[in-house]
Amino acid sequence: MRNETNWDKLALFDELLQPLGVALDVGQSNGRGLGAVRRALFTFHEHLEAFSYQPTTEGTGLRQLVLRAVEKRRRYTLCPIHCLAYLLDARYVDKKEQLDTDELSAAIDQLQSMARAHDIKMGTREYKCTADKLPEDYSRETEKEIMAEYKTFKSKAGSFLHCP
Amino acid sequence: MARGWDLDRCRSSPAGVQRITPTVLKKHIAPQNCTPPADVRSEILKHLTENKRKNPRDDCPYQRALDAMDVAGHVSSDAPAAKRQAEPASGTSTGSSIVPFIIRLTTDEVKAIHTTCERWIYRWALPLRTIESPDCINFSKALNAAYTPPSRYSMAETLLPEEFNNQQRMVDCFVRRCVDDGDVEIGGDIWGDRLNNSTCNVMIFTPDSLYVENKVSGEARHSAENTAEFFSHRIESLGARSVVAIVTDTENKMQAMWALLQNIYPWMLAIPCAAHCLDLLFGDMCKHPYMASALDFFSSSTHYRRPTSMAKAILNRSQLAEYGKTVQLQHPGDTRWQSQLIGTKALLKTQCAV
Repeated sequence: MRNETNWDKLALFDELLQPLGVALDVGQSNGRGLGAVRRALFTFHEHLEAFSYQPTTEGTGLRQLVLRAVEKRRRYTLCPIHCLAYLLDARYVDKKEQLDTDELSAAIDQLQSMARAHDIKMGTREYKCTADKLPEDYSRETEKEIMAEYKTFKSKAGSFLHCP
Repeated sequence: MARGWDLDRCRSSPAGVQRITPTVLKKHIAPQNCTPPADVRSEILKHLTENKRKNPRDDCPYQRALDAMDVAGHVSSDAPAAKRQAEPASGTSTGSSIVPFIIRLTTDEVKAIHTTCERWIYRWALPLRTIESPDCINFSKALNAAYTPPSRYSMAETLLPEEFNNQQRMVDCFVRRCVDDGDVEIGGDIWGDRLNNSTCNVMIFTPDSLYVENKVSGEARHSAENTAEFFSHRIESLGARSVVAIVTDTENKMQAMWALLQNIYPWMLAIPCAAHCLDLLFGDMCKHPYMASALDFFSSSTHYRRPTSMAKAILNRSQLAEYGKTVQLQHPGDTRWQSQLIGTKALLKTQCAV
């Protein structure tokens, strides 16, 4: 108990994992946080990289372990839908952390497939049949509209530009 | 005494006006625009005061009103003054000088209060004994002395089922609306108890997350096929095309279940629970020897000062001397997310006292 090293270790533990505690609190709260998942992982990665570890072998080992752990969990956790939510979230439009090429193409595919699924749903209602028996010329209005809206959003020509 | 007042029913009672009922008071003595004569009022107050003396600790409004009448000398011209003094004791005034002594809640009022009470118990999942606890009764009496909280039996047999049905109707409407909008995500987890009963918690995520179902699964084996079948059944009941995503943890079995469900519902997204993944990340980091030794130190420190120990009492004294207040130590729990982090913070806060 009188050994200061133990208290130092405890303080480091607290300081190192503080952002993760915040992310866990936010993750368990009500609300729409799909877009925030990618941002949280990125922020946490930044914090772990910039953290001042002890200049010992143990400190270096800890640094490697935590960065590896974050990378591993990031691969498990992030899905195209997270990337898409991040892409469409106006808060992250100008952030330096942007999607890479693979993530971007996966996100766009996701957007298209979701829009297509909505068209199919409407088509099955209209023609009163299952998805595989839909005629070739069923309406693909939603897909067209959504992709057009996405282009407007990316070119920053949306209606929010007219706000004071 | 009555001078034309219809008090025959009171006289016929062997106890006289001590047994006078509020109904009789309302009907015969205190209708609107009718003030009883001073001597009748004084006589009634005397009897009511005598009756009230059985419990001398209680504050007696009748005694105060009687004193006020004595001061006024039963002079009718001073009656408004006596009335003014009597009013604060009763808290309400309906225009008669007797009515303020009798506060009764109508059936509708009682029902309305019962409804708020049962909602409180239901929504916070409080134990039924709460309603019969002396503190709860005192609190409700302090708010409104005429209200008596329901017994735990009426709460359990009538009021709570009623509230449950009301809530169920509301939830059904809400889910139906979200299903119509096609804005539903489904999530859940399946687990088993010591008796091998499988229980599945199903959540419907809408703009406001909403708990829907907690069902005992018929299958003892938690295989991916069984779990997928269970969720598939629920998805079909909601309308397959209305469910856009399923959210679970990232266990291997659940990932196999995602694949099975996506074969049936290709448009459906399978999303891993991000909070659960962050908790796993927390666990991964704690595996490093440096972090593990910090956690060992934390666990042994808090365990040594467990709530019933002498060490805890000594720590509390030190905290009072050091900080002027006690800081509770938090104990880690396997099933409570980030409990180690919360506990570490609490321990660091009281480092000097430790």
